[in-house]
Amino acid sequence: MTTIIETEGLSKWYGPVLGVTDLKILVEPGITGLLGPNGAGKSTFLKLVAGQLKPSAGRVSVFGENPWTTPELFRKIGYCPEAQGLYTDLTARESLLFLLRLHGYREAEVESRTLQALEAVGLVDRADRRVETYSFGMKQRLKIALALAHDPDLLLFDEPLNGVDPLWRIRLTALFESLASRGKTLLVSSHILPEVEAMTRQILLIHQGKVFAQGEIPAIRELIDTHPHRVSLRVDRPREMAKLLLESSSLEGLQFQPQQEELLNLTVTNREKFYAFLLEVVVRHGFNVEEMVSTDDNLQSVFDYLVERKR
Amino acid sequence: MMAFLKTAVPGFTTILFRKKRTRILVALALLPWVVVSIVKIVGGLSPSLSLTAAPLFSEFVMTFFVQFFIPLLAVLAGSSLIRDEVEEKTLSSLTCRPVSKGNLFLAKFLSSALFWWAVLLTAVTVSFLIAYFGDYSLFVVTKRFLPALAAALLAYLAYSSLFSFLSTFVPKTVILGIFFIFGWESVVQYFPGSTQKLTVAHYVKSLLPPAPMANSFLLVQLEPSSKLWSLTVLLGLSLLCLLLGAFLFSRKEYNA
Repeated sequence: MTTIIETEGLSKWYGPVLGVTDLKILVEPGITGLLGPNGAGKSTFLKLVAGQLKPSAGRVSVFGENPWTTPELFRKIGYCPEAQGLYTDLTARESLLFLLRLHGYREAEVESRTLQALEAVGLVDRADRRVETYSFGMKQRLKIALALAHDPDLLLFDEPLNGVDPLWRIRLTALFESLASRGKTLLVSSHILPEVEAMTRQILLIHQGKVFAQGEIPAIRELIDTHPHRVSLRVDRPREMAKLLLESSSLEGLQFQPQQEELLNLTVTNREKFYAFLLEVVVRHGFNVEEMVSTDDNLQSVFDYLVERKR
Repeated sequence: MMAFLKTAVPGFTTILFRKKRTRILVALALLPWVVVSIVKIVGGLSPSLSLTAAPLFSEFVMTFFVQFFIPLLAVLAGSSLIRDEVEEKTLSSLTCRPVSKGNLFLAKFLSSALFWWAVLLTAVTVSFLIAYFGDYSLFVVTKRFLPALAAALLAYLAYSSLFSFLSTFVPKTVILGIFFIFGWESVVQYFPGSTQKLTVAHYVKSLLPPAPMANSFLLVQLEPSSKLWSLTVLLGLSLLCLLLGAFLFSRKEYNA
């Protein structure tokens, strides 16, 4: 397969603050999910690929060229930044017309591309309203339209589904998949695993500015499923429940919450197995479960766990 | 380059025109019309006040433009050229287009300059027409109006180029600009010797026609430079600042 993005020892510091360090990445056509908790370095990496930042060390090449010094490359790159950087005094149509004209297209082509982009993100009927009147989700969709209006081969999306309503999340995910099926390369960042999981199997995990893992989602999922989870359980007979739960092989730890004895803090290794066991206990002994919360079911805790395990 | 400017300039001008700040500044530029009209009406009703057109135009209108409005406008327009894009986080929308950053800088500057030149041209011309109402002789037009208009347009070019250049690397260019205009320039331009030549105002005032009144505020030019030299300095400064601005903008990274 053709390599679209290639980095070698790529590093970026903001003064003494680390952005990314020593990244060696190859990205091929299709959708690649860029996953990592907030502050992991995803946006810095995308900005480096989009030629918005100059590497402090190492190199980044896109279609074999340096994006920092090659403006012509932006005929083939579409970039949707995380920041809400839109010309809010313009309408969506004016924004698209203005930025497409910078590509040097003829007027008829500018207009047809504008219409296509507006249609793709469902903003045709609101195209002549000023962007300042848009909701957060509509602004996100406009940013996506601005990135794909010139039909680039590489699309860089930084948290594109952030603030988008559930219906449009599904539609945009389908749009990304259709772009990938047309041979485009998409690099989509997110800190939410299921969001990325819905559109691709290929992911790149970034944490503390470093590539943590690169590969297919099932392998990462396996890591996540075996990582110890914390679960809080509020029941009517906590001591009796505790005694029964100790029989579960998936239970690693159990504590009563100080001053709140009805609240049990559990550490479990295999969530699925533990929940099945818990359900059986609850049904058989007629417990009244008032509340059950998985306190660390998020990417940050998974990363923390993986980092600890790697040490 | 020309084709690019033709497509980029109208877009940047629309963005500029839609800003609230722009409309406030346009309204301020038209303020002399109102004042000159009132003065003319009052003068017409009370001939004993002996308000003649020449001092009205050179003392009030041109003092307002050259000493206050144009430097202020240039500080605001020049310093916002790049800073607005950085602070509003729109810069990446522009810099991920197949256009060199240097060309983007020049196109943005040109849009702003053309727009404000049009405003200044209108404001100065209409002020002149009101002040000199009924006396549009060739002498008045060529010796009073045209040099004043040229000085106003060149003043805007020089000041705005300087602050556009500074805005590529100074985070708070407005503060620096206000200090430069109302601190350094307002004091140093009245120093005798060559110190006054370290101000833009010195060269702008050297281009203005001699004021008709002996104790003219604008005439406090101890040693005015020649018109040709003043023109050369103002154009040279503008060109240098624009080239340096385009160069710096294309090499500096902005985390926007």
